[in-house]
Amino acid sequence: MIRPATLREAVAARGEYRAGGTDLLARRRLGLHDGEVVDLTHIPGLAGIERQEDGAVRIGALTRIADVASHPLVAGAYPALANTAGSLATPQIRAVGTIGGNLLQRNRCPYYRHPAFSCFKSGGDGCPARHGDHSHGVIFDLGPCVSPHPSSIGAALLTYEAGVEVAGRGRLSVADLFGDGTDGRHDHRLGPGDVLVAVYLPPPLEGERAAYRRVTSRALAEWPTVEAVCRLALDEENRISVARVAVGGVAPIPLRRPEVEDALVGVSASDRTAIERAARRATEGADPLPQTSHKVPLLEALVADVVESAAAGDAHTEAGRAERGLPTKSGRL
Amino acid sequence: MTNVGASAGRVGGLDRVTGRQRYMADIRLEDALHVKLVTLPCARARIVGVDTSRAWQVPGVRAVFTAADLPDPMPRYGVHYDDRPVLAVGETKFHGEPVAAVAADTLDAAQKAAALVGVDYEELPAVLDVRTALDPAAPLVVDPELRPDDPLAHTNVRREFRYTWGDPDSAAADLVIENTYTFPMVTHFAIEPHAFAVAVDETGVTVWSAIQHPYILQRVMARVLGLPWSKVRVIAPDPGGAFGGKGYPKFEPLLAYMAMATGRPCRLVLTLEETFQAVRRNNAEVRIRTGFAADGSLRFQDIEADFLMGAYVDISARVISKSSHLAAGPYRTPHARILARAIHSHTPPSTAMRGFGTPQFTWALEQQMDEAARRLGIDRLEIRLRNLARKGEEVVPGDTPADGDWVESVQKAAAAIGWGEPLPEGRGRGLAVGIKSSATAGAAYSILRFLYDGSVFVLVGTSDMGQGARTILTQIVADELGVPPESVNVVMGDTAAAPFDYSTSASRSTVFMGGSVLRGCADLKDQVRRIGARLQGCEPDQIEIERGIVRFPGGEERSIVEVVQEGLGPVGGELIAVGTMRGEADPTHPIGGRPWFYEFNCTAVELEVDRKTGEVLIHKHVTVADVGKAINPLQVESQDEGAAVMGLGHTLMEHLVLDEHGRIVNLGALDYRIPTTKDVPLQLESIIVENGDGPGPYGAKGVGEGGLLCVAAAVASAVNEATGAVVRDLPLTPERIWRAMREVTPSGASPR
Ligand SMILES: Cc1cc2nc3c(=O)[nH]c(=O)nc-3n(C[C@H](O)[C@H](O)[C@H](O)COP(=O)(O)OP(=O)(O)OC[C@H]3O[C@@H](n4cnc5c(N)ncnc54)[C@H](O)[C@@H]3O)c2cc1C
Ligand code: SF4
Repeated sequence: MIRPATLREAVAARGEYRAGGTDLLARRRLGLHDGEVVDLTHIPGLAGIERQEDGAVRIGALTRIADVASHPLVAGAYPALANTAGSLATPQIRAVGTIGGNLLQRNRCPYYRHPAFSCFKSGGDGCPARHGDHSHGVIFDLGPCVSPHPSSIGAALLTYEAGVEVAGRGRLSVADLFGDGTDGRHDHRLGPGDVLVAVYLPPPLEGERAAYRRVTSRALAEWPTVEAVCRLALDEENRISVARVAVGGVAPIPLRRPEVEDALVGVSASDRTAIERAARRATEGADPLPQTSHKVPLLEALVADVVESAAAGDAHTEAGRAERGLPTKSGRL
Repeated sequence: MTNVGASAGRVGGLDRVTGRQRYMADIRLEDALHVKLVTLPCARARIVGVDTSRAWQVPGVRAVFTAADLPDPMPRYGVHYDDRPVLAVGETKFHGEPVAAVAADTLDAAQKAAALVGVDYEELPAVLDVRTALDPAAPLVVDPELRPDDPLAHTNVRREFRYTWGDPDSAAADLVIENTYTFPMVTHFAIEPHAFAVAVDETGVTVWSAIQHPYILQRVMARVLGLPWSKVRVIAPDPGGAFGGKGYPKFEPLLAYMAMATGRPCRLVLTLEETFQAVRRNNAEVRIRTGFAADGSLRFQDIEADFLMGAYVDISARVISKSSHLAAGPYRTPHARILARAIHSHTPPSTAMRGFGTPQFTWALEQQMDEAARRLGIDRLEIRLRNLARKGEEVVPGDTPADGDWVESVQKAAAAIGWGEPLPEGRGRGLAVGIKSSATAGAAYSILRFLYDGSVFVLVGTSDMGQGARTILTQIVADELGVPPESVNVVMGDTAAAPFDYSTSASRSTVFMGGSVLRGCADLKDQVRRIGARLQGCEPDQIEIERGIVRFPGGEERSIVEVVQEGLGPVGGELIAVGTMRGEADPTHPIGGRPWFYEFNCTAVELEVDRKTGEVLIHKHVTVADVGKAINPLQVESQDEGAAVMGLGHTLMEHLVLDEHGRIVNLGALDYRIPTTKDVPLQLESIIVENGDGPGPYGAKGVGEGGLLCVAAAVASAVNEATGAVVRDLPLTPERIWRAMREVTPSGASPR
């Protein structure tokens, strides 16, 4: 294991970077990675959350997910990000895993992680999931790989139009970090020597509100079947003036849904029918696989739900749901 | 409080949860070699050749074993059928079956070398499901030559079990319901993986294995190796969870051959992934035709069940024969015909698993009751009460009659769940019942050594795998002999030290081993009475012993220790007592003997279904167990709660997915979903019914499996009430429920 003490050394080091290690070490145990490991945890300044002079918030790449979820700067101004970070994985993983590692984690497809299979992602050339079990797969079939992108935080950052800083390459938008989903082999577009340094969140809009919700097949330790994030700003007449909607679990990248955003602008925040009509556009262009057709109406329902939650100002969706007497997962705690 | 009936703390519990307990994998043997198995990436393949030359080049490699290194013909073993080869010979039968094995100085070297063993193979079509297995054109999983004199040898069916009573064909019924239900392949998922070690020296063979039934392993090892039983010592450290999955021999024979060849102990700790491939629960398809009278009373059951047991029989034939015998459940069933098939396939072998075949039948049977209730316009609780056998009534003619007040249990569950009370919007309630046969024949021996200072060694062959057997046995001895529980030392897990016990299965240990220890205590007290009589010049039966106090005819009272010490005199020594409890086999009985008791359970739930997503949120889950006598109420509750949550696993999320090559796709902890702490019902209540009517100590019956039996049916029943959806396949994933809801309201997810 290489332990660089500076960013420069890290950029020069050859091997796979380790932040929290929750993804990398799992892949090593499965024999998917046996090369050199470059430990980023000894480099000063890579963790921490602070407000910049321009009002933006900078989150260091090595900031723990649990800290992202609970930090007052995030929870106050970027509630959907805090809520996303606080809902994913398990308390243990959140305490160790980092925001950078979350964005750059590799795919969770069971075939990719299975010792007996090889596929595009593991260096082979085929996709056994496409012809096998893809019940957790995509409905936006954008490339050769049909497994959804694993990063929940990626979807949340899309709605906040966040950027990332990569050592030596400057700023990239989060959308650019993930590409367009046509590359079946990679989960992001960083290469060797590309150290993710920080995530930047632009200053929040006046009175903006947001929500996050996920559907899972069990309550904890689970990537979602479908997840959706929504961020809205309302005008004085309580009409939606700005809308950002991104979804996960349905495409090989965290996916923004501009069709829904456009349809939401001008809609009254209390007009449930119009919101549901806009939400139906979330599946425009969807091309489900044989075993994922149920995700199509699920996505529409979930987007409608998350937009309504945001419109109603339920910053912390689960709490808002509880208030409205709807089932919540965190009610179980 | 430590006495019988009190919730004494768990003996060894703290060590278990703090990691201080030494599990099998923690046991280091000096000079031991590490073994790694070599497997193929498919279920069934013809082995053309194995090239070990590159593996041998890895430094530290001491053995690379293939079929050629083992006796010819290949030794085969098993608990009831000697069908499992030590290594695959000629053909592999399931994904995960080893074709070779490497032993090396370090685990690293063993792993490296195992990856370098070159196997030339040709994949062959595999039988992976019931339909394919029963196709007359299907490949045969078991070579017919290995099944001489077996009329079914040219099929994939190993056994057919048929039970009939009454005249099901001419029984009149007002309503006949016919459906097919499926129960998925699931795995035990004990947190501790399977682990084994074997050492050979001039005293014989010592086998370490985290196993539930050390004496069965001892017998099988002796048979495979041609040794007297006394030359096979099995050391069985307390397993870290077992649930039936650690019952029978796995790779111990292979390790024995490798230890003999290398002259060094050999150890093998399976990875979680390998553990998944080792054993599982039988998946099943149950077709069932049930006839009812208009008032809801059962007229007949016509049940046909196909159990896919995998490549080798293991204990599955017994699982299937025993559970199918009781397939008609806890009801009065005037006419019944039951046919159950034990079918081979190219999948990992099935074995015992909590519930022992009964959950598969209960899933089907209880949904039939619900459907009848719906179609006849009878309340679901009412239809069950109408048909439940009352105490003393037969459920299967000629067999053990109903041995508890089951109606009482059902009424308690109904009251606790608020049956009949108005339901909040979007919710449903469900209730189901189940019974499982206990152990039939079997023997349990125990040795009690009452030492000079008044402390006691209890030597038993039971395995404490987390169910708390040490605690129960300690409580019994402490109570009977009036000694503090801290001075009772229960020694388990060594066939050279503890006497024979048939098994730790079928929730039998409290009844059988508890009964054996109780008898041992009685023997000990007899010895003390004889000593007292000698010291005082009276007759033994004039002396009373209660809670450690010896009362002499004149009213004088002394403690047991004083009497024993005076009796043994300055030379010292100890008292040795033996407890025996035997259930003799009955060859005329269809399953070899009457069950000693039934485990009866009633489970009731109230839940909510998210109509947009199909997600289920269980608000309340009630499980009621008729246990006869709760020797330790806390342990009864923990067992029932554990069983309930485990039942929620196969109910809501667990199933092994196979690909077309027979490989388990969802291998491991992330892709094979078991319930997490947050999937537990918001409220989980365990109710104990005690009427002292069991055959065990103080009227106890066994516990631990009941809470799992009818979870799936209770949940499905509640989902149906909440949504109208009917699902006959498990697990009830959000997707499946959602799809079933769409069939009820084709417009799709209805708006809130
Ligand atoms: C049970 C379970 C459930 C989960 N559920 C979810 C979920 O619902 N949603 C979700 O989004 N995630 C989920 N996760 C994933 C979890 O969030 C990730 O494992 C974690 O975020 C990874 O962070 P890490 O710091 O440990 O990454 P590491 O394992 O250290 O790294 C992951 C990858 O990112 C690269 N990397 C990390 N940091 C940098 C950097 N600064 N510069 C360049 N490269 C870098 C590494 O080289 C590696 O390739 C789950 C995980 C588990 C185990
Ligand atoms: S879906 Fe993607 S990760 Fe899964 S097998 Fe196909 S290419 Fe590999």
